[in-house]
Amino acid sequence: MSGPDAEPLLFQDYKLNSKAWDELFAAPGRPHGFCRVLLDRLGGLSVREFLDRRTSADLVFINNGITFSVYSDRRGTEKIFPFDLIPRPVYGAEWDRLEAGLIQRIRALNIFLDDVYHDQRILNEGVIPAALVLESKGFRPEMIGFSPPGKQYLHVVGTDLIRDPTGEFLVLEDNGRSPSGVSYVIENRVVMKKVFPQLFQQCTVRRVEDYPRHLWEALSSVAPPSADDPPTVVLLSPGPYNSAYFEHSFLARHMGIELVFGQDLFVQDEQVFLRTTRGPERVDVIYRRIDDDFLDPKCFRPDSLLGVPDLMKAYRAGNVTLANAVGTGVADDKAIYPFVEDMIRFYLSEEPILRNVPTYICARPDDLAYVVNHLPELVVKAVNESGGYGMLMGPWASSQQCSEFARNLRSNPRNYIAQPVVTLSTSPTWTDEGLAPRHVDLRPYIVSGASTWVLPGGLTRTALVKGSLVVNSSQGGGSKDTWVMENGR
Amino acid sequence: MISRVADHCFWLGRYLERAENIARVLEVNQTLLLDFAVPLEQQWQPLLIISGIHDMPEDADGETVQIHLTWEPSNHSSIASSISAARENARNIREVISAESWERLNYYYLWMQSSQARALYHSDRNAFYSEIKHINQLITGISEGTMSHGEAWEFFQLGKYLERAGQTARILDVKYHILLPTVDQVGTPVDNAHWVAILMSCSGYEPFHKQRPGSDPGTAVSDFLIFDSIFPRSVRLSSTASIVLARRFIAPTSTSEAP
Repeated sequence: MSGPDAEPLLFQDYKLNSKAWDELFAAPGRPHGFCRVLLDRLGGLSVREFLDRRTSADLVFINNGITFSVYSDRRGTEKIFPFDLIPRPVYGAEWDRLEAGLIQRIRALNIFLDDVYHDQRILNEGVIPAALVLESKGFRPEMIGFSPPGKQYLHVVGTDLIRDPTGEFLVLEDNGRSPSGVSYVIENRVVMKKVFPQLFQQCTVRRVEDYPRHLWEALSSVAPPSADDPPTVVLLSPGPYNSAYFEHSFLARHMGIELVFGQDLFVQDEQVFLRTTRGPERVDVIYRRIDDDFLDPKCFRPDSLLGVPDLMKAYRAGNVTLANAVGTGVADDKAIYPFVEDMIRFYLSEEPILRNVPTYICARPDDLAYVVNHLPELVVKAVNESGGYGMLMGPWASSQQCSEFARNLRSNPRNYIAQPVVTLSTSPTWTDEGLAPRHVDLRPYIVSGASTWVLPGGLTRTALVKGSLVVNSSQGGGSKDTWVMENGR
Repeated sequence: MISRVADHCFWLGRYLERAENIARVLEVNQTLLLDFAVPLEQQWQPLLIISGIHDMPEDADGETVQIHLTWEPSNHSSIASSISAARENARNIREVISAESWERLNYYYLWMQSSQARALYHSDRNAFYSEIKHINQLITGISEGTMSHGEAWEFFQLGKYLERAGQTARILDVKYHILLPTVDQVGTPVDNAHWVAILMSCSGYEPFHKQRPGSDPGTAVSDFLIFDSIFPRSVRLSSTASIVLARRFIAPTSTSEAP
């Protein structure tokens, strides 16, 4: 027992979740070897000292207006993304393996896209059922026979990883359209460096601040051959009411490129131009943060005001690079996801370094029957939804919700996949009840141009509600700084 | 620079300047009324006329007019609307304006919606109008010291000067409308006191006396506010600055023009 004068220390009352892998502790009171230095230092803080630092960190976020918008009223409500001060560590050597696995995966997905829009070898050889690919909402017939510059489709991918109770990292999904969140990784790091300056030196944490430079280099490296040197790169945003507008503005500022809206661009003679005060200026590369559907009202949704008429004509003429390429949605379709391991074997003749979560494909009659009969044990996901929408968490669902989902499944099986519930790893998180384990995932960012670079770490999202496995920010999750530590001992 | 961004910079400058000037006009009118008994319809009606508002009842009292010009959201030139519009323009170009300017503007936008702002409006009208004038002065000062003085800055300045030229002319109009000029009133103590008040509302009292010591206020004040070449709020200086900026925008540059 501590005496009446002794202040409680930060980790003193931390109790592990017995069903989950913990990112800091191997056993109660016993940290993983590589976390020892981190815990020596952090663990020396009293709860009061920790809370003081937490207050100053919150102030940095509020004053700098690091917010995301929530679609509701015209003004767009801005919220702060809840941030937890205790870092989520990843051991350097383990990270190197993850990095190799991610690069392998993106290589295969990129070849897959080139294949489905050209020879369709993987469909013809029956590795993936052709119907799954050709009927995917993300499949764009406009891309058939067209090769983007450098045959690069996936310039930026955010792959969601989770860690199961045995400590193995598994891939939950690949976000290959326009993944967001990387600005929080960088801003979180800025705040952490202000709050815990010495810790960084002692733990030797890999840098994340170079992301904008790597992104700019990747985007420039895939400019059309006719582009200027350096090429004119712009970021196309849907505008300030989009939930990720802060990030669009952040990345444009840090890369030193123009942030543009659809109305700022026009196409003439299959070339894209920017409307400037000095007349039209040619644009070579567009890092677009709007979906395929809204890119070009003449080609996709005619009611889109966000896009640029005839942009696809300029794209297909090879006069502008779009990042990510059009039609990458077929690679991050949740119904295609179960085949990524097979893709790696098929295209690269390698064994996958990273495993998927076992997945039932409801389009297969046997799988559908199993899923319908085992709903209370499974997580069911609509294949074209993201952000935690269109999901059934079997173990927590009412029998009414289950039977409703069973009806949906039978009427539209192509639209669903199901997975066993994986208990996500936990990481110590400050909560109303003090320090407690909360479930986390990890989204590393992979940037590809002439070469591929992986941001060391990535966005750790954390569920803030006790026992919850849902970490999405739109569902009330928070974030942590991820520390890839070279040397923790 | 992107034309849309230039547009946002221009309107940011205009709306900030407009909020400041409405506060000035309201403040002048308050001050004027303290000294003189003026028929009701001559008290506040002129302010509506110079703001282009014609649909308010003729007998609208001072409080109604001040609320309309300060808070009314449906009046696009009210102080509250101008600050919202300035902030909305800034929000679209956060990567162009400096973080410090944005932070301050956002602060004042939130302040205008707070109960503190309403409380100050009711308890101390002059302090409230001073605070409004500070918004533009602060943002302009912060931007001057933290934002690159390139095209974006120049468009911001253009909006400011154009709005200022118009508003100084409008303030002169208040004088014209309040004391409908019957010739026999010209040069009376009342008339002179009016001119002094107008000078003060444009921060022109001291500069006027330095430049034109001992001159009779009547025609000299209007001459000063319209034609002075170094007073920052004169119509001449503001229009000249606007023209110099506008000329720079159309000057040919070395960048090759696309078809």
